[in-house]
Amino acid sequence: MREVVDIRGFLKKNAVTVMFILLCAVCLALSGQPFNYVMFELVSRISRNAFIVLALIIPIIAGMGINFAITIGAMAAQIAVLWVLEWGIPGIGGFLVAAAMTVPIAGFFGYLIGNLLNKMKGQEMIGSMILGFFANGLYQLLFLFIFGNLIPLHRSGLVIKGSTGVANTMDLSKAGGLKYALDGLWRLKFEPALYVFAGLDRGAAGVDHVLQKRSQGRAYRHGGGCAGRGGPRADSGGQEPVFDGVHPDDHVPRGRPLVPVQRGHHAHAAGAAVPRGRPEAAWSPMRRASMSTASA
Amino acid sequence: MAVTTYVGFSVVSLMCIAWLVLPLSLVLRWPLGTGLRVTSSLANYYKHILNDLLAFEIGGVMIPTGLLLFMGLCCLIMFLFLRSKTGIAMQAGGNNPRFAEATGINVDKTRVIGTVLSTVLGAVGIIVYSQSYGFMQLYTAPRQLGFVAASAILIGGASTSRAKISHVLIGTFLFQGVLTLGMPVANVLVPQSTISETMRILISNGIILYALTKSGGASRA
Repeated sequence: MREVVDIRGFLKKNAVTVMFILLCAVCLALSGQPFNYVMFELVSRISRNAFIVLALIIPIIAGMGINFAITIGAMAAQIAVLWVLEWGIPGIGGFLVAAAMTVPIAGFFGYLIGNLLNKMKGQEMIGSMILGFFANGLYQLLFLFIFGNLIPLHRSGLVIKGSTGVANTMDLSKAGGLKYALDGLWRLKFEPALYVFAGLDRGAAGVDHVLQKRSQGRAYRHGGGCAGRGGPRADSGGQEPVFDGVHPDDHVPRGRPLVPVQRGHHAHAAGAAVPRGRPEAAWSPMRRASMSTASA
Repeated sequence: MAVTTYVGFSVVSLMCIAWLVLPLSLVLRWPLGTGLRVTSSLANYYKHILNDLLAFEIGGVMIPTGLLLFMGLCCLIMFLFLRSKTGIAMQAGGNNPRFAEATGINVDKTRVIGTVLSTVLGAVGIIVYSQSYGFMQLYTAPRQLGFVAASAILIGGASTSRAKISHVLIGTFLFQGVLTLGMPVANVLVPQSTISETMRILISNGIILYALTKSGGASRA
């Protein structure tokens, strides 16, 4: 009886995920595509897209919601790729040159976007989306009217035939292209790849486990001790820069000092140190009220 | 705003499927295959029904009297509505939700009423729009409509927290004026190109961006 309730609760909690998986399974069966093909597509898709999705973590943590303006980064990259193609640098060299070229451009754009988003706090999502559309206009201006017109491009296939402006699609698979520059570095068949990555994963998990145990032991000794008394850093004399109850001379691996501390008696202090998204309720009604009086 | 944008996008996509599978009359269908056409002429239906009502000509310019009268009537109804009990409750809820809640206004309800009215006005508006053009467009055509309207009201002086009927009239005049005058100029600069379309994207989104920068952050702190 209890099991049934558990399953029901699980389904309720993860209804969307479960439905999605079921939908995928049904569609897989209906599509008639071979399972191997679907898996191959899925692996290359996941690796392609995960990198782009990775770009969204930082703005969410920084309290700006989802940054729809990552398209602008993509545009910066396309500028770099266009010039790599024009210069004809093939393979991994071309990939690295494009990456090195695009980082400063995208960084500059990011700086501008950040300053603009600071002027529209609370509206960042729609703002970055509109910014993406706006940048698309500038991008068309650049690619249709500046590249290939004011700045001539010489390599064939880059410019629209019989017209001006950069072609819609560029072939990266020809000689001098970037196709498979990264994918082709180290290719494995599915079976050895499974073993290699499973091994890597277990290895990483083991290292993680050991590190966590070590840092836990240390944190309980020090962090638990100093937090248990309740006084703010009573035993550190108020002088030493103490980070969440762990002494700086402790060799706790960087990046996980919060984990053991939160499990100790120190949870409130650690929780207070972590900004959890935007304190929406704290400022939005008041801001709205002040806005309306300012505009009235 | 991000949420409403995505609601719009998803409904547009849903309707794209609907236009393909709905069993509707043969007149509107593709000559081959199933599904409705992208563009349907209204020539035999209600094309120019408002434009031609009491229309007259002054110095070569056709004045669409019916259209102007209808627009004026709608503005008048809006003016009256904003001074009715519901309208004032709605504005109070928009200005200061906590205060409105404390005075007994159901803010969630007024917000729903506001959304309903806005959606209904959008629906009537697109009928007026299509009778003026003489055709209607399906599938992804409505997708950018919201942005055009938003840039018009914002260039007219509205902000994301404050809007008046005068903003609508001034904004539409200014925005359409910029487009009407700007496009030929752009086409002269780079002849035979799509630069006018690019300029339209830049102008319309630039205005929305500018208005959003006025909506929060340092400028309003």
